[in-house]
Amino acid sequence: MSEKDLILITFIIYGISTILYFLYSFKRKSLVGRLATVVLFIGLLFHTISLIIRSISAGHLPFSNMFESLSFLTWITVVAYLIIELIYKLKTAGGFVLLIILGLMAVISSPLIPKEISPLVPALQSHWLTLHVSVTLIGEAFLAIAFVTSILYLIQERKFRSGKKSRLSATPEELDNISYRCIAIGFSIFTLGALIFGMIWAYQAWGSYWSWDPKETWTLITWFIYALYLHTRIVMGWKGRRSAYIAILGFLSALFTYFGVNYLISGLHSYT
Amino acid sequence: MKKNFFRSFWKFFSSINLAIILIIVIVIVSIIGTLIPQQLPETEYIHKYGAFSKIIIFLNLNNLYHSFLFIFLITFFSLNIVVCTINRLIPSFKILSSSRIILNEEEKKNFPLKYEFKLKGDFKEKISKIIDVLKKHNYKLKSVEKGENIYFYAQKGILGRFGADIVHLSILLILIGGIIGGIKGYKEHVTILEGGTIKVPHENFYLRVDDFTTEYYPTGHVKDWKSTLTIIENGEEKITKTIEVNHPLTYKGVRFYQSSYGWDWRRALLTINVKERDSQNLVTRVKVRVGEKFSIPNKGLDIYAEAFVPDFVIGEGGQIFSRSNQPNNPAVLLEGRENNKIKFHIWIFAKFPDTHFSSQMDYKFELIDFEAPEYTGIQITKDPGVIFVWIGCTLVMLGLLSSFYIFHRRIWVSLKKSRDFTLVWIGGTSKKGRNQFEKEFKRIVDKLKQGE
Ligand code: HEM
Repeated sequence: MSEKDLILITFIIYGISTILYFLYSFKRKSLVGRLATVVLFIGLLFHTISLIIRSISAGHLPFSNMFESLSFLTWITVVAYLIIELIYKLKTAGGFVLLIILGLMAVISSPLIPKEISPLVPALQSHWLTLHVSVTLIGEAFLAIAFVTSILYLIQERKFRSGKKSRLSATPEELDNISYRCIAIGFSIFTLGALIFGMIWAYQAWGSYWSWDPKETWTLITWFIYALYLHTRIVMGWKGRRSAYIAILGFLSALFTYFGVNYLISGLHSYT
Repeated sequence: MKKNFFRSFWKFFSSINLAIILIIVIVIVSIIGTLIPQQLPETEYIHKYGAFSKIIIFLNLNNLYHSFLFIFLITFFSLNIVVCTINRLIPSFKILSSSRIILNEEEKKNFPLKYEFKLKGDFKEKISKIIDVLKKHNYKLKSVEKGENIYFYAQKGILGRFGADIVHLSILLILIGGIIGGIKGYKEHVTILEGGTIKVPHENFYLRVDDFTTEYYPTGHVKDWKSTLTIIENGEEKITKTIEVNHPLTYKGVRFYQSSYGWDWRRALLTINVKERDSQNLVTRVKVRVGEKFSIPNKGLDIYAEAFVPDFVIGEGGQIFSRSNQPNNPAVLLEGRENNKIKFHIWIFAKFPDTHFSSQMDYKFELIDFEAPEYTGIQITKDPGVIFVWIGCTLVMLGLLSSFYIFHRRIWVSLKKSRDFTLVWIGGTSKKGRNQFEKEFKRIVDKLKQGE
C-alpha cells in the first residue's frame, strides 16, 4: 500500500468513527460508543503506519513541510482526544473533535498541499527544529480539544439556560472544567515547544533567539491570549461563557500562526 | 506627599485589571506590528501607504518592537508583575512561617473539610498511626505536645503555592536577559574570501577562513554550507572548527554562524570569445578580469570589461542592476575604445549570445565563462544576556508545572486523650484541586478509622 492509499483509508475510517460518535451522542447506546472508539483506534493505526512510512522514505521525522506537519497534527490530536476521553469519559465531544480531524484530513488530501518529499534546506537540519515543531503540535492538539469543548460549552449553556433538554450528556460545568484542564496541559506544552524550543533553534540557526519575525510575534500573541484566559479565570473568577470565548479566540490565533502567517505575511519562517 | 505618591503608584500597579488591559493592548499593538512590514527604508512606506506613512513613521510603527510605545508598554507590564508578585509573596510567606500547629475553636470552624471522631485503643498507637498514614501520603509533619494532648500540622506541595510567582519572575528574568543582550551584545555580518583573515569586530582576536564548501543533494538543491574557521589570538591559533548552518563556533562567548555565501563578482574572471561579425570566425579568445582591458591584435582596439552583473535586470526607470547574487543572468558591459575614443558600449549576455545592442561593431562578443572568488558570510554575535534567558525559560517551565500540577495541601490534627478513647479532630485545606484533595482527605480519614 502506498502512503497515499494509507492516508485515504485513514480518512475513510475516521469518517466512519465520526458517524458512530454522533450516533452515540444522540442515541446513547454504549455499544455504539465503544465501537466508535475502537474504529478511531483502527484509523489511528493506519495513520501511524503512514507517518512511519513517510519518515523512513524521507529519512527524517515528518515535520519539514506543511503536509508532514499537518498529518502529524491530525494524528496527535486524535491521540490527545483519546487520552482526554479516557480520563474524563467524555465521548460526547468525540464527534465534534473528529469534525476538525476530518477537515484537516481533507486539507491534507487536497491538491493544495504538495506531498513530495522535499530535501531539507540547511536551516531545517536540526534536532531542535524537530523538537520545536513536534512539541508545539502536541500542545496545539490539546488546545484544539479545548477549542471544541469550549464551543460545546456555548451550545450546552444556551440549551440549559433556555431550559431545553440537551441530547449531549456532558453538562456545561464539565465542559468548562475540561476546557481548563486541556488549556493547562496545552499551554504548558505549547510554551515549551513553540516559545522555548523555538528560541533555542533560532539561536542555533540564526544567532538570535528572538527577532520579532511575524511568526514569532503571532506565537507570542497566541501565548498572551491563553495567559489572558488563565488570569481572568484564576484571579478574576471568570468562568463559563467569557472563558469559552477566550479559549476559542486563542485557538483561532494558533491556527492563524500556523497557516495564516505563511500565506499572508512573509518572514523568516515562510519555508515551513 | 512622597508617601502618598508611592502608595498610589503601588495601588495602580498591583491591579490585575491593569494586567488584563496591558495584555490586551500589547496583543493589539503586536498584531499591528505584524501587519506593517518592519524596518524598511522610509521611502517604501511613503510609496506603500501614502499619507498614512506620516503617522506610521511618527509613531515609529515601522520599528514597532523597539519604539517608545512598545517599550513603555513592556515597562508597565514589568512593573505590574513586580508589584503583583511582591503583593502575593508576602501573604504566602506569612502563611508558611506563621502557620500554627494548635488551632483555636474559631479557626477550626472555618475549615471546608473536617471530621471529628473517637478512636478506641492505646493512645501511643494512635499517634504513630497518624504519623504513618500522613507520611505514606507524602506529607511533612510538625507536632507539639501540650499536656495530655498532641497536635499535628502536615503539609505538602508548597511549590504549588509559588508556581505562578516563579513564572512571573522568570518572565522578568527573560526580559532582563533581553535588555542585557541589547545593551552589551552585538551582531555583525562579515564576508570573507577563502583563505582570508579579518579582525573580529569589538574583539582582540582574528578569524581566518581556511576552507569553504557547498554540499549539494543529488537533486541539485543545496544541502549545506560549511566553513572551516580558525581563531587567532596573539599570533597563536587557538581553535579550528568546521561550522555549518545550525552548528556555530563559540569562542570566549563570541559565536560564529554560517549565514550566507556568495561570489565576489567585482573580481570575476571572464572568458570572452571575439568573433568576426559576419563570418562568425573566431578571432581570439581572451580571459579578462572585471575592470581590466584586452586588445584585439593589430587593430588598435582596446576593450574594457567595465562591469559585470550576475543577475541582470532593468528596473522601472531604466537603470540596470543585479536582482540577486546568483548567476542567473550573467552579463558583462564592454566598452570599446579606438585611440581613446569610445566606439561602443554594450551589454553581452552569457545566456543570450545573439542579442545585439549595437550594429556599429565589427565584432561579435560572447561571454562563455565567468568565475569569481567564493566568499562565506559569517554572522558574529555576542549576547551576554542569553544565559539569563535560558535560566528564565527553564524556570518558566518549572513554574508552570508547579502551578498546574502541584497543589499546596495542609492538614491539622489534634488528638485528645480521654479515659478510654482518643478524640480526633482533623481538618484540611487545599489551594486549587479541591476535588482531588477531598478524595485524598477521605482516604486518610478512612485509614485512621480502620480497625475500629
Ligand atoms: C504574559 C505574562 C504572564 C504569564 C505567562 C503569566 C502566567 C501565569 C500563570 C501560569 C498563572 C497560574 C495560573 C493557574 O494557576 O491556572 C498565573 C497566575 C497569576 N498571575 Fe500571571 N502571568 C503573566 C502576567 C501577569 C501579570 C502582569 C500579573 C500582574 C498583575 C499577573 C498576576 C497573576 C496573579 C495574581 C495570579 C494568581 C495566582 C494564583 O492565585 O494562583 N500575571 N500567571
